[in-house]
Amino acid sequence: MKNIFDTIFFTEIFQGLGVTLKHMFKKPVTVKYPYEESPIYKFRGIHYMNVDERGVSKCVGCYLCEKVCPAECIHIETDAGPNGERLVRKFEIDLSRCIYCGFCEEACPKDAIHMSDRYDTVDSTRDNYIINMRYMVENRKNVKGE
Amino acid sequence: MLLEILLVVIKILIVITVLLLGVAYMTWLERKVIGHMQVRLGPTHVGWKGLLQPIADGLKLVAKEDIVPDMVDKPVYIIAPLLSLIPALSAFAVIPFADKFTLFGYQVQPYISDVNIGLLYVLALSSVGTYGLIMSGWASNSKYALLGSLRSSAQVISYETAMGLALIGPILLAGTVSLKGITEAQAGGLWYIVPQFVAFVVYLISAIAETNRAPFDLPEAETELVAGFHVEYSSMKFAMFFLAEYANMYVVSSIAAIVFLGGWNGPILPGFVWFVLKVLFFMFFYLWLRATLPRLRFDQLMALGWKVLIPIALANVVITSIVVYVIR
Repeated sequence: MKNIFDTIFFTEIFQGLGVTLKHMFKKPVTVKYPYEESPIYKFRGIHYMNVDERGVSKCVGCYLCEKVCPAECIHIETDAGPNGERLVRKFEIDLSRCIYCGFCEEACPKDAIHMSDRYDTVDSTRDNYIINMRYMVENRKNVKGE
Repeated sequence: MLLEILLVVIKILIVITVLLLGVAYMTWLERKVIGHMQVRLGPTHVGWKGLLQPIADGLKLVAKEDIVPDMVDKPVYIIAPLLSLIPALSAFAVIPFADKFTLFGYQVQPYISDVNIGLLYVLALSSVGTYGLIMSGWASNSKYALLGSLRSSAQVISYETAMGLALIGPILLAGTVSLKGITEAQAGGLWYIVPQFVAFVVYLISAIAETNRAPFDLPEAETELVAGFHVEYSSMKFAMFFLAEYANMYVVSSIAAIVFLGGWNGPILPGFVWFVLKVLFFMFFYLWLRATLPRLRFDQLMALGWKVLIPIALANVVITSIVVYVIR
């Protein structure tokens, strides 16, 4: 009986029409990407370095991140300073090889290297993908926070 | 005499221009409405709120290369889009969208003409439009186009019957086939949607099937046939099919507004505004249905047409005639 009623009066079709009409006045969920920031959180993006109170990178050149890196994209060179301390001569990450796994962040004993939430890694030349210590220290400013 | 002919030509040009603009902006509205119904934005990029999108689309289609495939039947292939578009546009010759009014002492008749068989003329033209679909599918020499056009012809022929039968009820009540006469018959009293509600529902379903729109868009089933009958067409010829589809929607909506909702009749606002509002309501209903319902299977479509709509429409004709005979 109910089935016949439903067929004759299109009740289900009207229910569907009601649903679509209700959705029409909802706020669209679209993010106009190039014009608006995408809402991003818990994302492993381009690396950054934490600094100590003097504004120098916390990295001590212990090679742990280079060892743990599965893509072998971190290249570190160290040197002895005048007082016998270790100086980091070169610290480069090849972003075109990096797989953004976050192991370097976990391996770091000095809380130096971290991953920011920057996802705009696109570029027109390969050279720009090799980032150095200065770039990573600068990149600290681009972190939107946790 | 010459002045009258000139006036008619000017009126035809105005009507066609307005109609084509309406068709263009209906595509924009469709994308916008369906976008918002799916909690998206629809076109936003070209112009304010995407308002220049139809113009950009038109320019793109005109600028594209007009490809004619090797194996097509060339004359038929070229004639088919014209046969789709021209009947759709010429149906507007008899649509009375506003009443006569007096301007500077002259009696101005805004609509192009008032034929005393107006409704029949529109139905005949919508049947002619089917030939465009059939010919395009046949001449394209492609299996998808052929399947699409076969489905389309089957569908249009089946639903034409129900549509014509549904329109007989209001014709019996009005006692005339002229669209202006039908409008004037509803002037003081009820709109025919009230006494002829069954016919209205049957007409609405058949009209959607007639114009090959969702949920009856079998001929253009993108998921099964690539695009249906116009799969081999490009550039301006494709644009013609596109315009024809939307112009047909306008024709069918106008007929529905005139026959069931009393055309230009309505309180307070001028007649033309009422007419446009009613037509736009039907157009919105089209889009609304497209956003809501899934496509029917082909056997369901034919069963609905032949086993449900045609008997109901026939019963409606019989009952209406008996009632009209008793009352008069």
